[in-house]
Parts: sequence; C-alpha cells; structure tokens
Amino acid sequence: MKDELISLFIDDELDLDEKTVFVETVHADPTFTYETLALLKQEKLLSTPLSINRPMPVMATRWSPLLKRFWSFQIPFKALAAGLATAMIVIFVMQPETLLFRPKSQKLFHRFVIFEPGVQQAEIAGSFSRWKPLPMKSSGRNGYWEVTIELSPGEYEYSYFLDGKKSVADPTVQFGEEDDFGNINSIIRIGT
Amino acid sequence: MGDIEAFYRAGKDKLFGYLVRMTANHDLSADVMQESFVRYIEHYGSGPCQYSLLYRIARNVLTDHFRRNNRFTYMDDDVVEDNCVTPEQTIVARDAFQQVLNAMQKLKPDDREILSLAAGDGNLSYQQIGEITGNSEANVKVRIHRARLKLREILKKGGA
Repeated sequence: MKDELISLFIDDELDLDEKTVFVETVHADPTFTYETLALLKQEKLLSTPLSINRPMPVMATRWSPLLKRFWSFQIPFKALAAGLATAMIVIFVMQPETLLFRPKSQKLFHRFVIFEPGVQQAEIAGSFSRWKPLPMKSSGRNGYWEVTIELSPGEYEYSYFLDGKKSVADPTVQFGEEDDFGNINSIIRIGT
Repeated sequence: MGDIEAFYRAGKDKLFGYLVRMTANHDLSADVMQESFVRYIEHYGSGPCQYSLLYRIARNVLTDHFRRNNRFTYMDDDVVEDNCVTPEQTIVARDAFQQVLNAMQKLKPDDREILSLAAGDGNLSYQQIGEITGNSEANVKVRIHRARLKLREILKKGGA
C-alpha cells in the first residue's frame, strides 16, 4: 500500500497525511527511497518534452498550401477552368438538393468529378473510404472521370489517384491540407 | 476563437506527447492530434475548453486511425525538444526516449494508456484521467502505480 505513495508523489496527488507517511517512509526505508528514485528517473524519461509544429486546424490555415499551388501555376489553367465549370454543374444543376438543401441527418450522394483526359485510370481515396482507392468511371471521351459516393454529413479529406500513382488534389475544391508526404489532400464538407 | 487558439497552443504538445507515448509513431500522433482538435472545435468549440473531452476524442480518433498505421515508426530529429547542450547529448536523449517508448509498446494497452495520460509536465490529474478512461480515482491510483512497476520490469530486462 505504501508503494503506491511513490506514484502519488510523482503525480502530485498526495494529501497532507500521505505526505507525512511518505517522508517518514523515505527516512526509515532505504529500499523505498531507492524505488522512488528509480521510478522518478523512469518518469522523467517518459515525460520527455515533445513539441509539434502544426498550425491550428482552421480553414484559414488549411487552404494555404492549395492556394500556394494555385499561384505557382502547378495546376494547368484549362484543367482548373474545366474543374470549376464541373463544380458549378455539380452544385447548381445536377444535384443541388444533395449539396445545399438536405437536412444534416440524411446520407447524401456526392458526385466527384475530375477532368483528366490524358490518363487511363482514375481513382479516388479518402477518409470516407478509409483511404482505400475507389475506381472512377470515365464519362466517354471527353476526359471527365466521375464517381458518386454516399456520405454522411461531415468533413472529408480525399485525393485523386491517376494511373495508380499520381496523387492530385481536387482543383474544384477550395480547401486542402498537405499530408506528411507532401501531397495535397482536398477537404470537403458534406451537408454541414 | 481566441480561447480556442489559446487552448490549442496550450494543449497541442501535451496531447501530442500522450499520443507519441501511446503509439511511438510521430506521424500518426501528429495526424491524430490535429484531427482531435478539428473534431473538438467542430463539436465543442463554442463551449468551455475541456482537456478531458479532448483526450476522449483523441482516444476515439486513435482507434479510428489504427487502420492507417502502416507507416514506418520512428522519432523525427525535431520531435524531442532540444534542451541538450551538444548534438551527442541530443542523440543520447532521443535514444533513451525511444527505448522507453519501445518498452511502453510492450505493456498491455490499458497500462500503456494510463501511463501515457499520467506522464508529462503539467500532467492530467487522477480525476481527469478517471474521466477520460471511465475509471474511479481510486482505481486510477492503483493502476498507475502497477503500470509503472510493469514498465520498470520491462526496462530492467532490457525488453525495449
């Protein structure tokens, strides 16, 4: 029972009576003292200060990497324009009710579309698929690839994968976040 | 938003430390830390800041993220705060920390968790740990000490 006083001491959880017993035991029992010092040393190691430099996850900071990419013209203008046009179609023509007007509690169908005429295969992977790639369907010869996914309301990260390797953020989505491999994942809110 | 920013600044390193002790994985810990704050801010950002709630969210996010735990486990050079005088001391400190982290991974998950929560400067109180883990304060008291002794046994055996 007295042994537990060591952890209470380490964690600053001793009350006055326990402090008295602890100090008396330290004076009377060298083994107890040795044990205390050993566990203190172990705890100091385990409590090694750690720091992480990541910005606060708010929208204002999330989309800066994607903006940077925009301004550096890494996204071809035509693809960007086509993507934006597609987004307009998706939002205002094809499924307006799913994106804008459905109540939060319902599952929503969201159509993901990307314009990539030069690839043989397009997939999408995201937090909604546990990052398992899902195949996208080519919309004929016009270069568009699409897939419709049923999603619960919420925020999702995702990315497109072209020809099984190249990761591409969605050019129609404003917000993105850089992952630990330097790729930009798009962030989309569904029904919220 | 000002309160949330202060909450984030004050809490991110502590939460990150808890997650590193839990996983020994820098990348996973950083992701889970950030995702936990995202969920907290989204759902509870307008209320009073509660560390217990943040850690409960982090536990859930960590469980969700284990499916992505296929990354290489390592400690980045810049993770351990550099309070050491020379590069050699920095390396020694990092190696020692890595050793204790490896030993932590050999504990049962419950023991690892309770030690991860208790460790660190300005650590959580037993009451807060009880709120996070769903245990009584008396139970927390007993479990923390037992877990410390188990960790010590593993380190003694060179089990790291």
